[in-house]
Amino acid sequence: MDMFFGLAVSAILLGCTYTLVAIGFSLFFGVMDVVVFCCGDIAIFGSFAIMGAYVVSQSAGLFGIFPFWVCVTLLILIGAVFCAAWGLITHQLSIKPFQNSSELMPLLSTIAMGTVIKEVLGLLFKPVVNTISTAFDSESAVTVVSGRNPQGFPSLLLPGGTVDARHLVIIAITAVLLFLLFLFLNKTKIGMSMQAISQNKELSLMTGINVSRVIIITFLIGGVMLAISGFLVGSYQKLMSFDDGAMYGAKGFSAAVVGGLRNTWGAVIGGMLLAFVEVFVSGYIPRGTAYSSIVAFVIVVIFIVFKPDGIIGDKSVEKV
Amino acid sequence: MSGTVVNTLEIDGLDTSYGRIPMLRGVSLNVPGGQVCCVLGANGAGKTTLAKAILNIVKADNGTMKLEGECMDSWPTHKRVKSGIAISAAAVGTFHKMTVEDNLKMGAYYIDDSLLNERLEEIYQSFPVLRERLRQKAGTLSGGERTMLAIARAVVNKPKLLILDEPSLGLAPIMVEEVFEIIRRLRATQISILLVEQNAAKALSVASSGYVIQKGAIVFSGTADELSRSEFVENPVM
Repeated sequence: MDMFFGLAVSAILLGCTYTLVAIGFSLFFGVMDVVVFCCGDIAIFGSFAIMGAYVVSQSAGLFGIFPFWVCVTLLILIGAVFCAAWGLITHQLSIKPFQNSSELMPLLSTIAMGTVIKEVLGLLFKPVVNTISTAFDSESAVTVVSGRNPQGFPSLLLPGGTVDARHLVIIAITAVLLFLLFLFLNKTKIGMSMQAISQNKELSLMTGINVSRVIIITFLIGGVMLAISGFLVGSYQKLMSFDDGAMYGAKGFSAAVVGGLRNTWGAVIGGMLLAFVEVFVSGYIPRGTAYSSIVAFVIVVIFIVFKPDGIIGDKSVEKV
Repeated sequence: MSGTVVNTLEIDGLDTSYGRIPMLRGVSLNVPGGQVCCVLGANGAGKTTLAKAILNIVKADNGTMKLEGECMDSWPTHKRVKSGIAISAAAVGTFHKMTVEDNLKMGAYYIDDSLLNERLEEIYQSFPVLRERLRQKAGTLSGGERTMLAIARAVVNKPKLLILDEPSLGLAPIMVEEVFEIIRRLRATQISILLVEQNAAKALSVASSGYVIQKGAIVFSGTADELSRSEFVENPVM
């Protein structure tokens, strides 16, 4: 029973990281009818931006001047600004120009954008960054051989607390974020407009919604969500690689498809389902860790074949 | 100006195309203030394209459009809606996962929050069937109720010009009757209406003037009387 409980907590934790990336997919898909394949990369970009900002603020002595939590909030804000900017760049460069062409074009161009993000991270983060950031936190110290090796994510979340406490905070932050998103989508004019565009774009135009403005706001908000998810992923993994975005993107996209691409709550359910399957396969099947991702993706394939609309379905996947 | 009827909408020489295929060719028309003006034409004649071009949802290649004398060629769609043009197009559907009330609130996008409830109350009085369905998802409404919702959503804003795109589309005869009763009531409120219809007899029963559109061009225009006597309308195949 103890094992079951422990696994369930890990699953929820992993599910949180998938969920936030999946929500990025579903927000963007909702307003653009396009799968933005670089969501995972934007999230990882966010965690690297936070790492970079941390290094800079460390050497500037910021942590000595302001209280710790102020600095951390500031770092997350910096990550959010960077990710929102990348969200906007993604929209302007790899989606908007292809609005009137085949639906395959933005798919390819967002994959290309993901590669760009990966390569930028690979170029920017040299080993020297790592030695500084890990000096602060002995727990995550790693030996670095080349510029492309994993970077240690600084302990910004409860640095003095236990691992369990840190994990609970990650779950709590995700829950708060989901709650805020729920309020935003249902109680504000912009949020309602986002839903309206997702349900009926032509009618949204006719209703007088400034559709292009709402789309831009969606990309900004999606970027901020992805930055926070990057922060949580970093705090959870402790070790980030520049190409982690591909894996998180794949998992986030799968979660969104399983839940129902057009539905934000589908992303939560899908993310949790995938995480539970992965964690329990690793936990209960001998040497299951090797197969956990395979089982998860098999489930995705089963959904695509038998229930392409996802758990909370709307007609959606046909548009991909 | 007094004595003459001011046109709510003036269109002059409107051309649109879909890709390289021309859709509308040199369409000019006026919607007189406070009256119902109809545009009659067969399927594919360009009626809906015209309706969408007025809102800049379909882009115009040439031509000018004026709303109450003010040139609006450079206005994006949302500005045209904000300035008082509303469209109800039954074929476009609803926000199907939102409640009826939220659909109406989306229609009231530019209404001040303090006036919203009062305005919604007026709508429920004109469309009692919607009051019964307030909390229901719009996707669960019947065809007739959806048309009512589409019209109600368009008039929430108190538009200067209301475009009704095929309001009788796909409705049972009794519902068509009801929809035209609503149009008569709206006409009495002095709102200018551009009624785009395939059902010429019904449209002419409420319109005071109108146009016939064929293959993207206006081929006849006149008063309702002139229209009902014209060869274009007598032809039952149109």
